[in-house]
Amino acid sequence: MRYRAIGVATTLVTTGLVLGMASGVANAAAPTGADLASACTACHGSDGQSQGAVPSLAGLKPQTFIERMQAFQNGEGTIMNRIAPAYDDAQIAALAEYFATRDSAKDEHRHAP
Amino acid sequence: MPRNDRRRVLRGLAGAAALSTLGLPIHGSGRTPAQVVIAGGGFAGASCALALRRFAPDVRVTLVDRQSRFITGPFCNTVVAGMNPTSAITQDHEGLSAAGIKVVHADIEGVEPEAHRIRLADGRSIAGDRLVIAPGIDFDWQAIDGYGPQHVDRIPHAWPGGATQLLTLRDQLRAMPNDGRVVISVPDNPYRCPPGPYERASLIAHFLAQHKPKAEVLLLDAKDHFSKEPLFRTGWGARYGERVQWRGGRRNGARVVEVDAASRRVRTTGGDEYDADVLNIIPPQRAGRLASDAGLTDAAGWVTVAPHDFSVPGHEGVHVIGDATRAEPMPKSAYAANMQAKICAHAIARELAGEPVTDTRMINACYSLVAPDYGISVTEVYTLNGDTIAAIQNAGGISALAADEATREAESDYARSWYQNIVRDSFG
Repeated sequence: MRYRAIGVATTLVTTGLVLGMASGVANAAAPTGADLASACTACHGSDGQSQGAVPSLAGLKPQTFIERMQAFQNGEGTIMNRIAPAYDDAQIAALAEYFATRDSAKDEHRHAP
Repeated sequence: MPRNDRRRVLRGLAGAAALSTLGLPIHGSGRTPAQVVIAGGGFAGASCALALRRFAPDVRVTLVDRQSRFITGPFCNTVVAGMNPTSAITQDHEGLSAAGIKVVHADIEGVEPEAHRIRLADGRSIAGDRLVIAPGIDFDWQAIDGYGPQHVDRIPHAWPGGATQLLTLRDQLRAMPNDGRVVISVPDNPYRCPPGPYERASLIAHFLAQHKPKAEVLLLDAKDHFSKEPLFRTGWGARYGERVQWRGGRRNGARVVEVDAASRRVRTTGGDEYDADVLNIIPPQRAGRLASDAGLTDAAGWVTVAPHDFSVPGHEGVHVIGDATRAEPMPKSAYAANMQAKICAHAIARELAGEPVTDTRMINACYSLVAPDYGISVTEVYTLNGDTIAAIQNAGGISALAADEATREAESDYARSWYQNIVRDSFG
């Protein structure tokens, strides 16, 4: 299946890049869920609390998060199908745990365009 | 003692009770908390300040910007096309203040990289253990003969240049003849917001279709290819027919080299001349003057940075983030600025704590509106590959070319949601 193959290839590419890293992050620890989540929140809202059509991630059950990411890796979605293939299983699990612990309560927003 | 240090001591004495409850030293030679000073309060600077509060709650953060209100580049084309008032794209720094960031609104005279100091026009200066510069872009006013800052009231750049520039362009569109022509001059790469000129042409065409049925938009581009090109071309064909025209730099000799402001006539590298009823010149760009005046820019006018922490090689403790940097393949976008700010803040937090910097994923995600109900997107995911940023293979790319109208409409809704979320994530 095409998208599966892409997922495996991505993991190999990623591993190669991590092994190839140089000076600045030579002693880098693996990124935590919070570290990885920094890249998500400009679209999905700070702490995963979204305003508007983009889905909120705060408070999602980890298994739901993981299943959605796997579906995106298999080609579902409008934009996440282009983002999810860049993440391996461990990174997805770390993100799932992080967003599960975010408060899903929404407060008022003051930025509507 | 520098004036800002005196102020700090006075403030410290006045707030002694509060400080003691935080366990901070009041007297003696104990360690004072680290301070980061940030010059620039756009997407990059504001995001960095908020991220520092999150990653390093003990670090004091001061942000300086000349203005208390910020007109965003994202969605500025909806103002040009009359879809939104400027209030819809006006952000402020109140969220930063509420998060415990000291915000100073004052004209910045310059930055001193060696001293990690921001010098204000009123004589004050603010120094820290780290200096983060988020200067944005400046225009290269030498690039096009006959077009300079003295012409922008008649021929706006609107990139975005504050509310006045956007409203000038909007009002010129409203006043133009029904069969008139809008000309947009687009620079070569790199420049702020690669798909922005094409979204602008799209939403102007949307306005014209409603109000100026025989008018057209002509893009004169210094490039031969552009961001989201197949999607824009598909969308223009579906929605605007021949109303949007595009000519390329080398292909058609279409780079604008000369402007006659009085007649709104432009001349291109190919020697062709075009008359416009409304003329929008988006000039070539370079890093903002705070970076260039401090000697941090290269011959092309941009700042080279180490992408694991966006520090400037050869300038210890100095970081530059946002549109001013060379961060290819990341574009000069609000999302990239927000992302770089977090990488920088996270690295500063780790370095100040004596911990190793973590490699992580970076994303860029940008939406454009071809029409109010027709959205398209581009995204990439990046990682570090040594001292360079690498786009991860088999991820990223543009929206599906063959998508149906429902998908385009969904992406237009995501675009509006994206705006609300990124401004909140960046400005609090």
